[in-house]
Amino acid sequence: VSIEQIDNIEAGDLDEGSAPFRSRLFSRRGFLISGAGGVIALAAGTTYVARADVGSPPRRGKTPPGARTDVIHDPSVKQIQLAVSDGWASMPLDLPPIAPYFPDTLAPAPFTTYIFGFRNVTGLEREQVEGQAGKAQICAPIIECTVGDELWVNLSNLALLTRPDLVDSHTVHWHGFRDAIPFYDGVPETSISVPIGRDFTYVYRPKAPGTYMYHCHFEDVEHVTMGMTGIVFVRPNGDRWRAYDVDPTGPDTAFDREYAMMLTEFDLSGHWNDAHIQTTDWTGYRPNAWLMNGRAWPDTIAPSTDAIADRQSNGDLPVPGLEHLQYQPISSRMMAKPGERVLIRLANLGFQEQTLMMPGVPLTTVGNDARPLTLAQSTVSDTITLGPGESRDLLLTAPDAGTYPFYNADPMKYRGTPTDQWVGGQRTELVVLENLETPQAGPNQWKVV
Amino acid sequence: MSQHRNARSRRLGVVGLVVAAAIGTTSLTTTVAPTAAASGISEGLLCTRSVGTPAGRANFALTAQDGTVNVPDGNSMVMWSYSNGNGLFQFPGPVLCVNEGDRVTITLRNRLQVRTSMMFLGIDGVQANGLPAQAQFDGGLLRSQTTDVAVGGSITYAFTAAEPGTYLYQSGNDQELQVEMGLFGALIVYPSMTPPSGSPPGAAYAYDDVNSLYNKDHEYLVLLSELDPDLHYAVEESGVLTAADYAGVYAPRYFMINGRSFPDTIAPNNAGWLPNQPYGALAEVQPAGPGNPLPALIRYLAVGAEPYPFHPHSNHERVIAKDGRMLNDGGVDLSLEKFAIVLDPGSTADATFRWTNVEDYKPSNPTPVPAPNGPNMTEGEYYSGSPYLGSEGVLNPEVQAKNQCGEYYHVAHNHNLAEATNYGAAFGGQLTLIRVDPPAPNNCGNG
Repeated sequence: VSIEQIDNIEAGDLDEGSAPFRSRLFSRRGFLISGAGGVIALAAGTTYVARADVGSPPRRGKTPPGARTDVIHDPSVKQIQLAVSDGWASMPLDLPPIAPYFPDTLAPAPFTTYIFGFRNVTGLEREQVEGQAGKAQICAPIIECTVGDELWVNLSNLALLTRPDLVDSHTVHWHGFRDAIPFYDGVPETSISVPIGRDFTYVYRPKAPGTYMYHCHFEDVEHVTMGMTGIVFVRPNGDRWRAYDVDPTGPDTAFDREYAMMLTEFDLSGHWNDAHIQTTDWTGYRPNAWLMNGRAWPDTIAPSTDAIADRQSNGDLPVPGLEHLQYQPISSRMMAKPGERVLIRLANLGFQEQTLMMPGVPLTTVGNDARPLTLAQSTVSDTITLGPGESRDLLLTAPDAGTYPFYNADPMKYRGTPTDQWVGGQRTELVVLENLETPQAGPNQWKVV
Repeated sequence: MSQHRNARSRRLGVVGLVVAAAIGTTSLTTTVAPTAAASGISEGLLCTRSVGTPAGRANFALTAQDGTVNVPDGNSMVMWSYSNGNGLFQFPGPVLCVNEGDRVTITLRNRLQVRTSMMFLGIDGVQANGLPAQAQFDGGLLRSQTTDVAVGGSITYAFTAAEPGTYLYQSGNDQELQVEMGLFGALIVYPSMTPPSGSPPGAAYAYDDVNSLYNKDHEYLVLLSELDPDLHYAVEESGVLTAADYAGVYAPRYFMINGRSFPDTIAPNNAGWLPNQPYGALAEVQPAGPGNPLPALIRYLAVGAEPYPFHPHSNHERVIAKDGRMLNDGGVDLSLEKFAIVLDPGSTADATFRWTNVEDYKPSNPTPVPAPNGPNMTEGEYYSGSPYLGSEGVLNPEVQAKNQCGEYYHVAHNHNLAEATNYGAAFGGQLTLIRVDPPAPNNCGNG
């Protein structure tokens, strides 16, 4: 969905009279109606306003307002602008308190947890972009592109407001990009990184379709687990509704709906340590929250907030009743009509191997690490295991109308330990129903009609 | 920016070969010397081969003993490992290279203060002192997963290397202690099939299969392991531990490739400053193309308690074999290109790798967006100062430049990023570099 489309989506789909979502007394209608991922769509011919002149001097204070020389209008180039900063996210309050780490007493209401993250600021004015400092989001925006595109990803480092003592640079590492050169690979030690107050534009010419991911590689163990992770996927050229090119030696990859899902975990003590100016021994990493697209159940099935919010003049995208998910905008709820083919783009940027399951719904693995599988390699199962840094493309045929949970096979990772249960973790749902808007407007989007 | 170039040639390490070559045994009848897979190598897989033995036989003499290793943060730890004959203590054990069909004999002498043994994962029909190797029990309690040897004794294992591939060997005694302490190594069985005459220089097969073609001058070892320093301190203090001393408290802090943690992983083979850790893990390639048609080969092995998800930057690697067997089903190729290869404990995988300079960015074909001015970017120590392969630019003065000739560096690392650290400090642990040299002619001293 483009920024323009996002801005045009009605916000009134939430029941204004319903109780706040986090009490889980929300109206079922409220979250069935509309959902959309934080997707940056790159419709051919769309021109985005984005700062792209990375050769320019430092941004702050150098260019007077209204005299932007860094806007290009080249419809052949797809442009995305990401800002990096710190901020606050919300984990379910059912999670048992872990003193002093959760909830973090420094967190402003209604948030609980300190994060670093990328934020989609494509099309925002300079002042709006700078106003997003301290408003990081998890997971990062889903980036969508097509073989043959020239994709420019502009990164602005807005600094860490809660930790001004940290003068970290940041990068974008497109994980799995084929035949990458270091200059656009985002590893600070082997190339360059973006200091505070500066921009850089990564240029990609993707040639292989599939599901990839991106993350910051600066002090990678910290920046990744703090939330700087997102999915980027590449469509085959010429077929919007197929995961990979047609190949008689492989399974059919045509789909009717697609959902991208990033798996991560949080060790909440590491997040607290960063907020409270403490250091963390990351070899002691022991996660206690497991996330899908940056949210834990039941937030996973709440609508995508950036799709239904009215953008405010300062660039913010709050949704009444879902204020706590303002910086976790991407829904993991899957919706389809019976018999439709659903593509799940699954990526893992946590530090643990995970096994997910959708009991009774066969999942056909058609892609692995952004490579199409042959018929001999493709497998069918209702469980799927993937390690850190791996991706899978799964196809399922939506069964009869109903709700089908999709969750981590380890109960501790979706509901806590037997003695300390909480409602949360890596769990979402496939909801099959007849009255869905068709065709799907974009990845992770759904609208009940 | 030549004044910033690192003066240390990566070829210096060749001198260190002398250290490992100083093998002379008196009590053992076999003479064993390490030889490089490629002549004069300071990078790449470094083989220990049987010498002076008749064709079809390969004899090795190893000594289980203790020694110390260093990690990049200045820590050092007591280890147990397998040394080559009477050679210097080394970790991990020697990379034993044999040919398909060889009758392999390995005599193990035990200079540890505990019983120990060797087992060869994926190898059938292993004999110990002439009898089938068997798990050993004391009063019904498991003592070893294979026939073992008493303190001060020796034992001879023998098997036929029937199938080419990459294999792991390790102790079968008290494995949660002994394997963690360092008693493991790699065994490589080279195939009998050879490429037809007229193949490009360096052509070799990893298996008896045309899909395993690679360039033997670019063959690399990635043996992944971890260690908990507290365990090693406890061993140093007490000599011997019982399971009760470490069960439940195990917490690995150092993560290694070929017995080294980054940045030591990119030091040459037999680097003089790492006397007991002879194996480097720097991979070096040139862009693929008509003049360089063959891929490199990476042999992965994993020792440890959890899977290691290893992520090579720069391009996918094609996994052609797992656990010493080609990935095919009755002739149907099942190899798969991966950007993250998950190595389960005790497993091995073989992957081919190539990198192509697809966009061919260069001064006459510049990147669409030029590099920022110096103060507007943070530069890395392995960066050349230029986006272009073979070009060198001016780096910011604070950068301690390690780039030599405009070569590219890509990282390859464990994507459980907590394990790409040295005791939690990022850019360490199970991480190494893939070096892409400019095509000849270049200023890199190799073409």
